[in-house]
Amino acid sequence: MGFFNPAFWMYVCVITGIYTIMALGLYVQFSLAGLPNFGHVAFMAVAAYAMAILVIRYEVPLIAASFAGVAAAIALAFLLGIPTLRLRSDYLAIATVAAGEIVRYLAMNLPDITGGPVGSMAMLGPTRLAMYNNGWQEMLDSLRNSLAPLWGAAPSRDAVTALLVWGMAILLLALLWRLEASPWGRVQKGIREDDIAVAAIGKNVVAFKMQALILGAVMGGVAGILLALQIGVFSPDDYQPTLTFYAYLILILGGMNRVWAIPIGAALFSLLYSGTRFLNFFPLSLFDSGSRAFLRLFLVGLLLVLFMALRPQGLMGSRRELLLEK
Amino acid sequence: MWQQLAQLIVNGVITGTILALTGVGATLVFGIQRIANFAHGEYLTFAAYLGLILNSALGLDLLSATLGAMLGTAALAVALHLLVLKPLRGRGLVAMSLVTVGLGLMLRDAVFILAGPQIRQLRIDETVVYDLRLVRISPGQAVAVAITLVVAPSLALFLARTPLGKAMRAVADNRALAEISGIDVDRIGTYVWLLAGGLAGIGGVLFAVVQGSFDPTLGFQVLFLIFTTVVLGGIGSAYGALVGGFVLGLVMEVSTWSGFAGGLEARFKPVLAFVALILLLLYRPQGLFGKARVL
Amino acid sequence: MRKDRLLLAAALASSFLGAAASLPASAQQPSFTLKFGVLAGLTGEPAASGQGWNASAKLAIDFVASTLERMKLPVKVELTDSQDSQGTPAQGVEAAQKLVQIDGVDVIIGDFYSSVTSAAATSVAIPNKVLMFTGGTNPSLTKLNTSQPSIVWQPVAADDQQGRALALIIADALGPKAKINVGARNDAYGSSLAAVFKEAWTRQGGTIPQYVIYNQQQPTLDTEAQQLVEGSPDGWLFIDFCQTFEKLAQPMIRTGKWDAAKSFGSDTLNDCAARGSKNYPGMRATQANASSGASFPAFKALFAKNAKQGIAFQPFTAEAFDSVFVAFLAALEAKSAKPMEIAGHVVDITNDPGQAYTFEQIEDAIRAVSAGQKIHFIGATGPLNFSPNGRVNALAYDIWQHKPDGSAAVIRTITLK
Repeated sequence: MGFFNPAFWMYVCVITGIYTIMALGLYVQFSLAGLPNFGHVAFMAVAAYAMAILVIRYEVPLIAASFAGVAAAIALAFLLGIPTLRLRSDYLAIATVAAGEIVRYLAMNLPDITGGPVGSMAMLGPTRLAMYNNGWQEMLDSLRNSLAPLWGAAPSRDAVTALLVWGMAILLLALLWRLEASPWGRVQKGIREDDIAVAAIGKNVVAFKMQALILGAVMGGVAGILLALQIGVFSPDDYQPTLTFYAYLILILGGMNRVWAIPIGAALFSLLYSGTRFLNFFPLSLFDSGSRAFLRLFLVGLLLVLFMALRPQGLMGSRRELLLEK
Repeated sequence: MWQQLAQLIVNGVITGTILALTGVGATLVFGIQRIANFAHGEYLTFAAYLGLILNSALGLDLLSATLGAMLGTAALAVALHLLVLKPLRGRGLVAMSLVTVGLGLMLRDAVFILAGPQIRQLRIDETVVYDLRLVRISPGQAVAVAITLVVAPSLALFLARTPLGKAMRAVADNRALAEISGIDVDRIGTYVWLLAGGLAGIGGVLFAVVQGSFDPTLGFQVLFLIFTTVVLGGIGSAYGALVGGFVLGLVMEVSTWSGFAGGLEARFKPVLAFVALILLLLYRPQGLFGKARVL
Repeated sequence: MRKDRLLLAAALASSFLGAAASLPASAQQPSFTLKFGVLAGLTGEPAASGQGWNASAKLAIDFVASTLERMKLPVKVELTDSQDSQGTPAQGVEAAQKLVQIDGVDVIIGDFYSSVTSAAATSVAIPNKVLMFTGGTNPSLTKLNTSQPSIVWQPVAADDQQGRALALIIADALGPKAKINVGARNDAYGSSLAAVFKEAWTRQGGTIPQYVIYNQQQPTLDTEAQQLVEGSPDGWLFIDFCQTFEKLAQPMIRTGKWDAAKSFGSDTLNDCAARGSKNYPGMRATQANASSGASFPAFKALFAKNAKQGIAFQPFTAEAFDSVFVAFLAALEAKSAKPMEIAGHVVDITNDPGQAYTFEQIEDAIRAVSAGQKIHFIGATGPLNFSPNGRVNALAYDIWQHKPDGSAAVIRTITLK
């Protein structure tokens, strides 16, 4: 017990990794292709719900259900993209927010399919407990046992999850880094700057934008499924627009156009949100514990304003590039 | 059936008044300052609580309390503009939006700490009924409609006829052109915050009156609807926001009319608003009154 | 010679025995620190309920702590920290992780959202063997207890019990085949309970002309109110919290078609005037696990005296209060703060046989438990009667009625079979 208990920080590490993957998805859409997608949380929600419904209701094995979840996210990207990709960027932002909220409201109000406001635990009705991550936990345990000889003792479930999540994150990061430097990436950056010019040289701009949207949706879906597996139970409240805002915050904290700064941004973000849970010390312990919760969010807001004031280009970004942005 | 429709129309107008008034402020701010002000809802909350202090603690009547709330919120808006937003200009739209999110968090949680999370009420008897044969409304709702009937045309007149109003519309329409023609864009910027804050002040108290009771999440819960109003009317168009607010309120309430094949279930009203928004963006993205941009 | 040695041995032995017998009782006296953590939605939309939950738990812990100090016992209780779950499972799990891994709490009082509770239980409480006393009403929460003794305890009557009780009570008053309009808030609590009631009511032949689930955070509920008075119902059932129910009640009164005397409410509506709202004369509501109301008024008075300004009495706050006492007394009987040992005594403390004690008699209760006697702790919400699976057995339901003068009182108590 105590501030440095590795068990807690290992958990935070897992969540940071998941948020990194989520932010990577947003990076493809926003930083590469210039699509201000403010409904990113919808991809996470759709993938998680699809996976949970298949595992709980139809007893599909976890791996297949996860692939189906990602496929559902891709389907949503299509559905969203076809009408909206030709919109101007401000309007795209608003349309995506609206889409995200529609997904959340539907999840909340269709209890027979999604379990309603109670969430995934109620998918089989109010009297039965619906869980989908038993297969995941079994796999984690077998991994723990096989890793035991390396460490001398079996590592915790969170430690193994952290390995898996960060392994995936680094893989995706490397993939994006290569993509950025590739011809495909250059076209996307061109579209971000001036999509009419790119269209003028004969590229199918809408197709490229759709590809960015779908790639981002895939990563968002993966993040959503991993998060669902980690916490074991989720409800529509987990997929509020604030989650998309967190993703943008991570991009900015790290530095807007640097893909390898995203894990740093995610770590900063985790420090901001998880670190402010530790306010029960003097003189803040003079506030009663209920008020400290409000104080925490107040502090988060204040730190946000200060950070934007003092270092708007993010930790790793460059001031010059910021000034060139619209 | 028809009586239900009449009542629903009245409900829609009443919901619409709040959205209309606060939407005007939000749309002007976005058009002139180019900031998506995510703290706008908290201005409403601040106004409601200020009104509460004036009305309940200091014993002022509702009208004076509304006036006081209007002045106080206008002062808050200008203060935040001068202290925070103006010095941080030039950091890009996303960064500025995040700043407003941070400010919103601070405002909301400050109200939570100072006033507590419990539900509050203004001193108005909500059970008294005005029976107008076709519809029945409460005194609070009557006051809200009355205030809007006074404020909305005054606002429209202000924007159309007075030099300041015309200057505001000019800057919202085309900043560069306005600057060239000699308008002090900086000063207009400050005046816009004054106006937006004042309107939010009235809107916040009206909200508390119409709802009957409120808590510190008042503004946050209606933020998306305000943004929807802004887009519906056309970003930057004040008339658009006025009309858009009423349209949105009416659409949401009337959709539950049993004449529409049983009517929409009440809890799906927000879904309808968002679907309507998406459809609007697809077919008329500039909103009702905005200009179709060439680029 | 041998006889002398025998005599000496006997004398030594008996003196040892005598010394042992006269050892002070303090060698048997337990000495531990029981650490509590509160998990609740403390900010945002759940803030009103969450802050009330937290305040209530804190009240109980302070009460026990000051009693223990007065009695000069070497046992301590403390509220190590309260963490915000914001009403979402993802945040709730992180909050619970902090409480368990960093603060090392033995008992978590929370969450009152069922979704947050099940996430925190499966991810944190059960693997780390930390007890949870939840305010969630979902019937499947206690199914998380797959082994004995239970880890998740549910001091609130679950929806399946309350739904059936409501159907019974309304059938009793208005007839089993009556037309009842149902209005419920659109969240986990409202929609679940409404669904359970609907099933129970229609199964016994009743009908529900209007079944309206409404978004409680809407500015106006006029449209919903107008829907709820349609269909010429024989009566109404409302499932909501007092403050948001007001937004519905006012427009219903304005329609002139609503009769509060034919209306029933869930346990969150039993006395709205005491919760900072108003009562509707004639309206009836239930309260599960009824005592004769013995210590509830005392608890209300204590809360009113000590709670911070701005925190009104909320639904389920009494359960947070009771949970602290139950956990503490069970720990005292177990003579240890180890969660699994506490769990083994919860059933004992809250059931007969045993002398009945309420929180007002906590000093006597402490002495009785320390002396090894059996007790039956009666909570502010009633006799509790925890069963080993973690649920309370709500065998009796109070029916409250709002009076013309604006107060509310119990008019009847019924027993469920």
